[in-house]
Amino acid sequence: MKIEVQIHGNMLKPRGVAEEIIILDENASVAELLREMGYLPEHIKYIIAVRDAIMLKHSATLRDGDIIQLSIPIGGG
Amino acid sequence: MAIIGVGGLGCTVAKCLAGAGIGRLELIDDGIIELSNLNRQFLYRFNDVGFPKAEIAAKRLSEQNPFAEIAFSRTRITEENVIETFAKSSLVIDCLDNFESRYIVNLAAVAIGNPFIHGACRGFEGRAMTIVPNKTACLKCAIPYASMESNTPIIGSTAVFVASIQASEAVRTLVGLVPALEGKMLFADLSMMRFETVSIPRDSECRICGRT
Repeated sequence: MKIEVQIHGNMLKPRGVAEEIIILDENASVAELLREMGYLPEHIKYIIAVRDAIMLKHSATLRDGDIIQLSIPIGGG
Repeated sequence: MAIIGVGGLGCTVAKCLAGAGIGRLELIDDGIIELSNLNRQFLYRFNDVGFPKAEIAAKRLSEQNPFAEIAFSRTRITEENVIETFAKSSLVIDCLDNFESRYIVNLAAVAIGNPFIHGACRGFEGRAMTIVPNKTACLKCAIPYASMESNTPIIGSTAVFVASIQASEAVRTLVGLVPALEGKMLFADLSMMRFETVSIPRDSECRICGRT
């Protein structure tokens, strides 16, 4: 299935692009998407995934055609 | 009302709320004004460098609104003093600069059941969320793991933007309106002018609020 990924913030752009199309097996999870994108295992837990303006758990199942937005926590003030 | 952290966010939140006529503000910060703060911490001036943030902020706010009661505490928020802060305040505003302290505030909010308004910024990116314990997701639901922080400096306009959102949420809460970001997090990227409001579901497995 085809997933469109929109990446917010420079830290999450391992390939330097803000948008990517990722091909995954049916019923793949958010965690599998992040691994497929090449994020390091020790970094994956920090990544926030959003679909249709709702935050997803990493165990959530993706659907063909999903648009997933990725970002990371911000703590400064 | 308590403002925890009188830095980039706290300065603007405090100015907005003092100007709005909030009767009592308590400012909590153990920091000292540094030269590098002046790009975004607009209660302070060049000659304030080296002086305590909470004390100078209180002085400036009293000049802005002499009818408001402005209290200050030159302390760092800890597990020992956070409960007292919540008990004394109808609303707490999280203007902190680190997740360790934010999680302490979140834990106390859930324990007591009082709301707080979260804000954070880095570079051109900002976040804001209003957390109402036992009703909305808590900060730990929204951000279970906090790391990957960079040393990207905070742009002054980003801090003012996020702080203005926090102040708006505070005013709405105080007058009995539903805060626009109740259970939702604003993701703002001022470098791309992208603004998204994301629903944050409560996590039934959250270690902080999942059993409440």
